[in-house]
Amino acid sequence: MKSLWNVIIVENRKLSRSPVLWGMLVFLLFVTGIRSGGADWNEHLGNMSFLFASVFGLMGFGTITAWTFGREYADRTIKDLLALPVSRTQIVIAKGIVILFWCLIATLLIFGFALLLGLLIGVPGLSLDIIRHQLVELLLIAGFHLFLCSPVALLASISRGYLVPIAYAFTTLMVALTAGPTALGPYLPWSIPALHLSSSGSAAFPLGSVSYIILLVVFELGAIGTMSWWKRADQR
Amino acid sequence: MEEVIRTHGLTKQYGDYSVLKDVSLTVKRGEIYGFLGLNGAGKTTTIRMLLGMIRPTSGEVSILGRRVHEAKPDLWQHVGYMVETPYAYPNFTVQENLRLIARLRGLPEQRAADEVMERLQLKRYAATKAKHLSLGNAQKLGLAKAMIHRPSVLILDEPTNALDPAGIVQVRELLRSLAEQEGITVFISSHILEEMSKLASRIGIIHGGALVEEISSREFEQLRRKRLVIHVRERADEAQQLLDAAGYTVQIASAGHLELSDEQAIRQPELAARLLVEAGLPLAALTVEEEGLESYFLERVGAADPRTDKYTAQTGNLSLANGGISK
Repeated sequence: MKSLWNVIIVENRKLSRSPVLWGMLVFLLFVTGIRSGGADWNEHLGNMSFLFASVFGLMGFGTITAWTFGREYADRTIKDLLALPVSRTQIVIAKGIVILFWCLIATLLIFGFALLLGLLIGVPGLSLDIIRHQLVELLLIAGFHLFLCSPVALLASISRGYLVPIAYAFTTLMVALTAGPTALGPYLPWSIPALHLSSSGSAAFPLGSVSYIILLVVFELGAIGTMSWWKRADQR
Repeated sequence: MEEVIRTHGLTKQYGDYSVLKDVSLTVKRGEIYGFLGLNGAGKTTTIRMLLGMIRPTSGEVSILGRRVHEAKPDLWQHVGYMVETPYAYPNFTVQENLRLIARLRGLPEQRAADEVMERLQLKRYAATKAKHLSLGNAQKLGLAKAMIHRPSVLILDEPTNALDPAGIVQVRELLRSLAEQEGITVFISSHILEEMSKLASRIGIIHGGALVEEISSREFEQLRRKRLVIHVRERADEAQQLLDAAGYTVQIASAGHLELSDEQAIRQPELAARLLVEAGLPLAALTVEEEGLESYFLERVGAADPRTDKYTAQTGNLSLANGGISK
């Protein structure tokens, strides 16, 4: 357990010092800023949640994941991580935990930024219920997107870099935007978060359970695949 | 002597292409094992297999008596390594990079980083970002990462690459003292043959994925052929006859000089010189030459270039005044 904690500290140090993380955060805050405003707080915060469900999750979280795994190959530091008194599985788990941590921090920062902007531009009708409801919705969507990050990590490991997984994240965004509104949408992992958001007024989990199971399956396949790749594949 | 590194029948194939063929070697405690080979001979693949980064198609690797591919990660607490060109996180300083590795190995970060920087004379670069290091200092940082936890086994791939002459001597002395005084086992690959002959206690030559030869450095020195080369100003035929009559085996080379390969001629060149001088045959030069490491190595792996001169002068020419001979 102590060795896992040590790896988490190291991975956190590496990611928190990375310009990619802070550059991405600035970009997300900028887009949040230009899309802010609305007739009331539900619309104002709903705009931000929609950005998360459609673009921020797939591209933002995807890029951070691609960087966290892909940089080890791009910087050629991967070989320093392969024969340590820490298992390779623990290294993958630690990277996952750090990605989860910083994506949640980014989510909360963007939510706080949206609140601040709403107050500054005088959006009417703010209440604690609205804040709580929108925050829970946002965290749920962020969680769905985090599930979708594990295949990005697998692709970064297989392709030995971050370009292929970023291209993958961009492609999934295109697929989600074009195929999401069709009958296939609830079965496409990348369009499920946006569909969930658009129907969330009716129930906490408005889509069929198969949609949520698909997200879990995608996560497990990506996570197990990444761990197996690190553990078993030849690292040339 | 305890076996620290052992490979048995190590083979790696990618499809029909064999990268390693049945490589079996052992390295004992406190040995410095030099692993020589041309580019693409299989050195780095072997090192990656020793470190569990590549799985063998067949055969097995053990370090400290534990099979690498089945061992728990704590095995690597005893092993330090550097594979190919070392890299570090470019935006982190030397000290920060070392602290990351120290933390991953469960060491007290500050102390471990300071100690290893001191050992490798990296202190003055502690605050330099890795991306701004010269190749030589980046190499030293790689070595520091390999040594930070004071391992009992060091596996190093071309560790003196890019180092300046002072750096090479420093690393050589460090590795030698680690082996001799602390009993650390060193497995080192290099293409700098001269360097390897000065450092390694045993040498393995790999070519085309197969271990061609495994010899001690003492045997290695003995196997290198030596000869005495005599340049006479005139009457080379007469000089040859004189030396023949004295029991030497003499050949006249195409350049007109005389070559003697007898052990006595090489040990006591002054005797042959005296013989010629006393017979009134003026000498222009007298040199003991030994086969170059490169040509020895290339001959062993079957890649010798017949156009190259195989021999180099050993520790400078012998002076004609040597042994009291003078004109």
